[in-house]
Amino acid sequence: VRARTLAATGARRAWPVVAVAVPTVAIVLYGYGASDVLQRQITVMLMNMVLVVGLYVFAGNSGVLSFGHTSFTAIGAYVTALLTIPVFQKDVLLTRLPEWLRHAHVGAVPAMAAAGAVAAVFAAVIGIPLMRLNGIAASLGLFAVLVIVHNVAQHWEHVTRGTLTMLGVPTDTTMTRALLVALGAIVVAYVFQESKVGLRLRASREDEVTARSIGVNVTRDRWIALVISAFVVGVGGFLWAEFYGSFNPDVFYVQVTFITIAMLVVGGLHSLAGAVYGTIVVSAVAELLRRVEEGWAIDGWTIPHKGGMREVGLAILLLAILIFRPKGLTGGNEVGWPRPRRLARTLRRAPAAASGD
Amino acid sequence: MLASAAVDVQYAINALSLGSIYALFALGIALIFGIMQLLNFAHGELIMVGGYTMYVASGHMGWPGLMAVGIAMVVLFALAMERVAFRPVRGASPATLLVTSFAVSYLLQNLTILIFDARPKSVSVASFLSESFDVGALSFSKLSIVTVVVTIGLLAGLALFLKKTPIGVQMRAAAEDFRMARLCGARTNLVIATAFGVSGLLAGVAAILLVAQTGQLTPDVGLTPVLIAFVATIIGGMGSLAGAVLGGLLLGVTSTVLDVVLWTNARPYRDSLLFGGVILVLLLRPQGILVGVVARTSRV
Repeated sequence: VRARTLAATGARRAWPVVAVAVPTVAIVLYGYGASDVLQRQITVMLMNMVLVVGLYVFAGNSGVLSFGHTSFTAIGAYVTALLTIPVFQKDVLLTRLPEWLRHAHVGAVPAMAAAGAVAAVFAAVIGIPLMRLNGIAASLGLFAVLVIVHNVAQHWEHVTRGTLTMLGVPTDTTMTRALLVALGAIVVAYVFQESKVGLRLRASREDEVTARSIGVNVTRDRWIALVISAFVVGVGGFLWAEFYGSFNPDVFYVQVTFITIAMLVVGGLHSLAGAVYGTIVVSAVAELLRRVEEGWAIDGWTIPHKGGMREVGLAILLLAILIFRPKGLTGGNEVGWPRPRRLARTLRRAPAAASGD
Repeated sequence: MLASAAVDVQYAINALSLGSIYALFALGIALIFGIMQLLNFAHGELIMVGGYTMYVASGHMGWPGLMAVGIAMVVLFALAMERVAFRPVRGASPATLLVTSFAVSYLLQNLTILIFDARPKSVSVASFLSESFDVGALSFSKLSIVTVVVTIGLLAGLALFLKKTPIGVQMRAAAEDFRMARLCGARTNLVIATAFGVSGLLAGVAAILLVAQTGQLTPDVGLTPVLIAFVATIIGGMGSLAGAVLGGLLLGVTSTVLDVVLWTNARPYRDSLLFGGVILVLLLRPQGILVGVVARTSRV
């Protein structure tokens, strides 16, 4: 009996992960039979999912929205490039690289670990002062970090090739690899949010003063979340670098920041389900709009190709969500263990009544 | 000796005109933030709208008409974005408001790409301003003088508006304590709409000055101004109008000085220094570095 209860509890606790992993895996399975173009789009979705889940680890749990996480993506991507571009090519591209880096060449897994680790170390350093900030000041401080990282990447020619394109990164990011990393990110995010630190952080998100009053060190817990989240996002940078093969600093700037935040907000900032479903929904809409954008003909009416339509559609979607469903599609809830409808309804009502909305 | 003094004066004029245009950017942002805690990222797109309006209208009318149409269109867009996007989310957290303005900015930018494509467009507005004139050994660009004069005029006008008109007084009250102002009968919708109108006016003028200076337009023309405005408002203390103006001036002067003082290798990293400064201000003096200079009461 005991073993069965344990198994049931385990299943119940793991349910939110299953609920987000299943549709993700299903999409990939569908993708195996689909065209190359669609496979690429699914890979892009999975890579975005890594970034969004990474962002969620910090922003979702702490309630502090970050406009600077793309800097971690950029760092992860550049670390990957420096470690995986073939040495003979580096001799040509980056002639003034320090000696030890010029001969460095590692496989995919160490490169991925390094991308995450360097991003995490960077986050740990900037987090010491920045995590003392609150609310909009923290968001802006992180945004300032993004501007600085972008500026440095644009001009540190010895290491980043400046505004020139970094090329020669092996293009090894496949759909399967992106899926594995995305699932890994989901598990990390879930384990973190259920950990002591995660729960304390979520308490502080709901009511910071009360959380502090019962001894929660909000600054330190936010810092821990930032470091873990930067690691995940840095790994996302690794995937992007090995997907593009070549990139410049502008690739990791305002655009990516906007897309990832849009995905998180559309899904619901406060839950892992929001991060994953948001990514899937926004990617699906983007894919639909991309097809419209390419132009098609119905009954002699031709809709010509127009650039920018996808982005316009995304912006409208995000605005609609912000206006009509500010807590996102999931309302900030995880997908719970299926339970009898009546009970679920009462449970849903109780906290709503308590918080007064 | 004389030559070097002349150079100094020219640098000073340049710094002042750069600072003035930065102050215009910052003022538009601070005005809205003071009243509704919205850091309007889409302010840059208002500048873009002004630029593209003048691009479309140029050739159809002379420069005064062009400027009037440009400003009118920007004010219209500012009012529309308030009504459509910002009014429904009013009262949300500053981060949510910032995301909303992010979405508006992204929307307008990509609509522009959809309509005009992303290639740079060249516009000439009032090309006579780009001439320079000599006073003794000094050579001034007309544009920089005009920029300074226009900014001073706008600031004086705004100050009068805020001090002397009923709606201006209501705006100041709303910035001080929004709920109290409402309880005392300030008309919320009117106050906020007016703030957006004024912010649009400032963006329109900024658009003219910017386009007259660069002669070039791209859909992302608003990004740099909005980043500068963020820096200036944070340095000046968020929501303080006087702080924003001084912050903008300070930023213009600092940028000019850094360009001269920094050794060549470090010059490209000027923006990093500025944004590093922003982080320091946020950490050490979140109320803005000028708060001692500008008394708290002058917060609009």
